[in-house]
Amino acid sequence: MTSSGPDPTIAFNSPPFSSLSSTLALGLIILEQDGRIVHWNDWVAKRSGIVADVALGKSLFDLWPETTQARIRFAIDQAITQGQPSLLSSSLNKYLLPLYEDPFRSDPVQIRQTVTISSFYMTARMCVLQIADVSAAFARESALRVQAQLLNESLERQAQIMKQLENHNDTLDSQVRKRTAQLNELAKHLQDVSEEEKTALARELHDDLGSILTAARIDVFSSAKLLAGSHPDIHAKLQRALRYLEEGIQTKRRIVEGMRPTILTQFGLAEALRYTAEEMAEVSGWTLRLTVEEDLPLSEELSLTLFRVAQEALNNAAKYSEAQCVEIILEADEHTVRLVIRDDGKGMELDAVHKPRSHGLAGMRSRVEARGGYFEIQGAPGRGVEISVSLALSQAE
Amino acid sequence: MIVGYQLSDLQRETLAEVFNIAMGRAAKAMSNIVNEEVLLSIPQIRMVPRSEASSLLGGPEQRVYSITQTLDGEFHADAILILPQARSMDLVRLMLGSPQQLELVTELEREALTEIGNIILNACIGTVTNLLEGQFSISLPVLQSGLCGDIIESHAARQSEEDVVLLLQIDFTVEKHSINGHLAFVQTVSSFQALLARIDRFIEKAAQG
Amino acid sequence: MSDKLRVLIVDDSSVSRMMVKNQLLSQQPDWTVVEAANGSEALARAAEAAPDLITLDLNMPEMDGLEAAVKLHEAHPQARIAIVTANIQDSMRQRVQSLGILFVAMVDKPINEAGIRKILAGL
Repeated sequence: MTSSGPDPTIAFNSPPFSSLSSTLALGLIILEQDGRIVHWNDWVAKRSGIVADVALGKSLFDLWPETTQARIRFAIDQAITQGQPSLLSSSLNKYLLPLYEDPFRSDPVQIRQTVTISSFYMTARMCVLQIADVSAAFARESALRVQAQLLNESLERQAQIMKQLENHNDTLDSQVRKRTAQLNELAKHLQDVSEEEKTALARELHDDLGSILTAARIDVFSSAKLLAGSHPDIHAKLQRALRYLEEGIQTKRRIVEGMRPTILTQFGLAEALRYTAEEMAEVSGWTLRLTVEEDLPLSEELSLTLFRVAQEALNNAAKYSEAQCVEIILEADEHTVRLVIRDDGKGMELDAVHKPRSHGLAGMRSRVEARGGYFEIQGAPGRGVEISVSLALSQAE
Repeated sequence: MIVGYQLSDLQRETLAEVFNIAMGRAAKAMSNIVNEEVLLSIPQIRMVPRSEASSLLGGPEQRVYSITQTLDGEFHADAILILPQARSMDLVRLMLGSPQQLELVTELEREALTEIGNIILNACIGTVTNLLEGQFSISLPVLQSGLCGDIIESHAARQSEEDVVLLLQIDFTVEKHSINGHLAFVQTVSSFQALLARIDRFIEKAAQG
Repeated sequence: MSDKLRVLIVDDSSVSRMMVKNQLLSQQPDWTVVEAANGSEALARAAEAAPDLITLDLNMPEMDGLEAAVKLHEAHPQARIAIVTANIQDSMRQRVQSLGILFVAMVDKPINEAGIRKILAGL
């Protein structure tokens, strides 16, 4: 290098440059075009175990033969011949330069480093190596990776436990569903038995007691007629007995009606609802709003369930609601029949809604649910009460 | 169209061929890194308003990494490598053997990506400057991450306020890793005459044989 | 190599065709050169000129170089083909080799004196 201009070896190794360079917290190596070292700062000297006096003037590739084949050699050539700068990252280049935390230890620890290689012009193109110690960042990121791995594993474990828990819940759920279905079946059975018993009782009352009472009344009536002229005192007594018998017959009829409403069996649900509602509206002074579909294809059991619910709901309304207006809706689509009874009365406490035995609610609910239906009651103080029931038209027996 | 900055067909074609050859080198460097074939598009040369550049480079709303090296000398240009964000970091992690799930991208991972960009860009820039025989100072690679549009805008802020750029662009695909990226030279029109002079000299030499 | 060979230069870049032509003629001034800018034009020119040597670029629009190579070889088995390409990836080399055609040489762009010598040596 005999070109004019300052001698780089002198320029880079005297103040102020050398003083500046020695304060740097990174390694600085400057090479001439042929790879000879013209600057070697204290940072490099300390970590390589090679003092500047030894390094200066030597070729970097002679001093550190391990760099000859490596990518760092290629990058240095690229910088010197083409002026192209390179960044050599610590992650992609495990062992860049033989620099150590303490080079004089028996088992020195190599520094993780990032090296940037660039060039500038002086008398000729010069190559600069800047070396940053990223060991700390490397350690930090290794720790981070371990943490991430642990976190991942723990998340996986957690997910596994959640899955087990879910399976367990599913099992419990299906058990609960099975038991509920069994209970519903039982309730339905009891309901049916009870209805059957009531029907049998009603039949007996009607057929046997009814005929006995009627026969007795006919006899008493004719006897009273015969004795009217001759024995006015006996006639009066028989007349009284006749009234008692009449009352007895009426009582029997009421009982039979209550057990198995004739109107329901004879005229169907729509008419039964209308009749019962009108009767109660007259007593309680309600305005009625009826939206009732006629001739729905309902089985006897279904009709009875709905009628009982309506009866119970109307009874409740009469007893507690002080309503002005009561509305009844009976409607059906292809699959479902729906009954709604709604009043505008004083409503009820939510607590009461949930109190199982209050107001015969439980009875209504269990009747409906026993047939696989859906029962809902809504109410709040001052907002009236609405009871709605949905049942499938075709009952899966 | 920008009056006074017209390229002749021969100049345009020569520029495309120079860029094509340079990208061939860059693609080889990239394919050595990813161990897969890199497919290249036909290079495109356009004069566009800077605001349109990002939509040609994958769309302004795409989240990308960009690695930029700036050439300064007879003419001024930014060589920009644009990579889709998620996929390219997956690739870096695959190379580093680090876990893929980490949400945070670490400093050393960004540094590794910068180096990869640097290798690819150097292959390209080196070929261009060799063929055009210019003297340039070339900057170290700078990594940016964000929306493609914002990144191209930030280049505008660094350069002059001129609004029109010469965009030399090639799109590349690494199929196995589903990476679609772009490599672009973005050059301000102020140094356009200097570039044209270089191209003319290249044509002249080619004609001499 | 005193024969006056006929050469077909196929490349979509006219500047690249110019470079191949001038490099070639500076070493073999007596040879004649025909040019084509794409694969189909190459087939047409080859039919007229019956070239002894074809230099072929790989990255061309419409018919790419690989396809052109196969068709040119079928139509003109006597013509020797050299690949001149910017795609220097190993995968492309393998693909070229897998065509089963004995190529004169595969040289990188931009073509230079050494590249031409390599082609001439392969003839």
